[in-house]
Amino acid sequence: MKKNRGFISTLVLVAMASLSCAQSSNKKDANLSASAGPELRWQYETGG
Amino acid sequence: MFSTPTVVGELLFIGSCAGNFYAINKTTGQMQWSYNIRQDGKQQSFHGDPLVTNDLILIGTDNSCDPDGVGHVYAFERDTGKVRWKYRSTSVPTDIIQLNSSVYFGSFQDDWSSVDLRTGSLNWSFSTGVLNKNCDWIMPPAADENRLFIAGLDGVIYSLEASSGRVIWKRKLPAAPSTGLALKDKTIYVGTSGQRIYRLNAETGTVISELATEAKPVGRLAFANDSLFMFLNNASERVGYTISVDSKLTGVRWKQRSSPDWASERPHLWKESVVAGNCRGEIAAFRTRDGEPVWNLSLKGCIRSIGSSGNMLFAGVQEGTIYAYELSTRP
Repeated sequence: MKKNRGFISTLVLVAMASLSCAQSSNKKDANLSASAGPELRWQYETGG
Repeated sequence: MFSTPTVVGELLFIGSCAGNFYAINKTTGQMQWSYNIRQDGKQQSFHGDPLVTNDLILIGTDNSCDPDGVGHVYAFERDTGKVRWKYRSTSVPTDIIQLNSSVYFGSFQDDWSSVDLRTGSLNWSFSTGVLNKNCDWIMPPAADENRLFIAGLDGVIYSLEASSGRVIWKRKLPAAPSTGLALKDKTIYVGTSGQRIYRLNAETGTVISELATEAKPVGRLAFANDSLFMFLNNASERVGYTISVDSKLTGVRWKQRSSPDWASERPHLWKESVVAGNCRGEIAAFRTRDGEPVWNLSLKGCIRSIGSSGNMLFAGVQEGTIYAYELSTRP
């Protein structure tokens, strides 16, 4: 059981890492479409 | 709506739709200070351009046309966010303009005021007396060395003596002003709902020239050398245009059509480009010289304000995010 839980945790981590990668990959796509345009440096959420 | 992103030194100043005014490090995106204006009454919006002085940043606030709402002009110490003074009004949705030791601004109720920059005390006020029943937008004013130029809700353009508020001249055009006023070379430029752009002599208010446009000029005007840039809006078809005209208004130099129309209030001039944003999160840059598209990018939200500093471009979206972009210096 302990092994299985570890396996599931690993799966969750891999899934999270994939999501992160997908997000950063989307960012790259946006920048590529901008050709010589500016690149995103940071964003700040004000909450409204 | 966001106020215009304004950079002074290392700090980016911007007000959000939720009633906070921020000073953010322009390079890192770390907040240095913020101020919640809701602690001072029923108000939560920032519109227009702040005024930067040696050690202060001044910004107006409002709660749209809410009759129970209030507005202020805040004079914040730039480095700390400490309020040096605040002037209470019904609303202050316009730019804050400085002439000598006084600042000038307008309200949704079409009251225009002059306040002492050092103390925040009232010098004079001027009102057209028109009720703003439809909550119409108050057009940004313009100023020269000793006069303030405003577009009243009565459709009249006034030249006011800055020291007293006395009316020097007034001019009613065939249709109501639909853009902010802009001043260049002793000439006032304004677009009207009659789909025309006018040049007025700033000394007399006399019309020098005019130019018909394909749709209604909206928002603010921007100048680069002898070119004037503006947005046009065809609301019924949700179509917008960015156009460049020569400063003598003899003709349109270039025009770029877009759908939906632009939402970022003014063509922002940056790196020999005109930058505009819409409510689909699209930002586009057109070459100032000939209108050729230079680049475009997408973000999330309705882009309401754009600012820049050096290689950095900032965009504020209605949903509450501030985006910072940087032009790569790589070859």
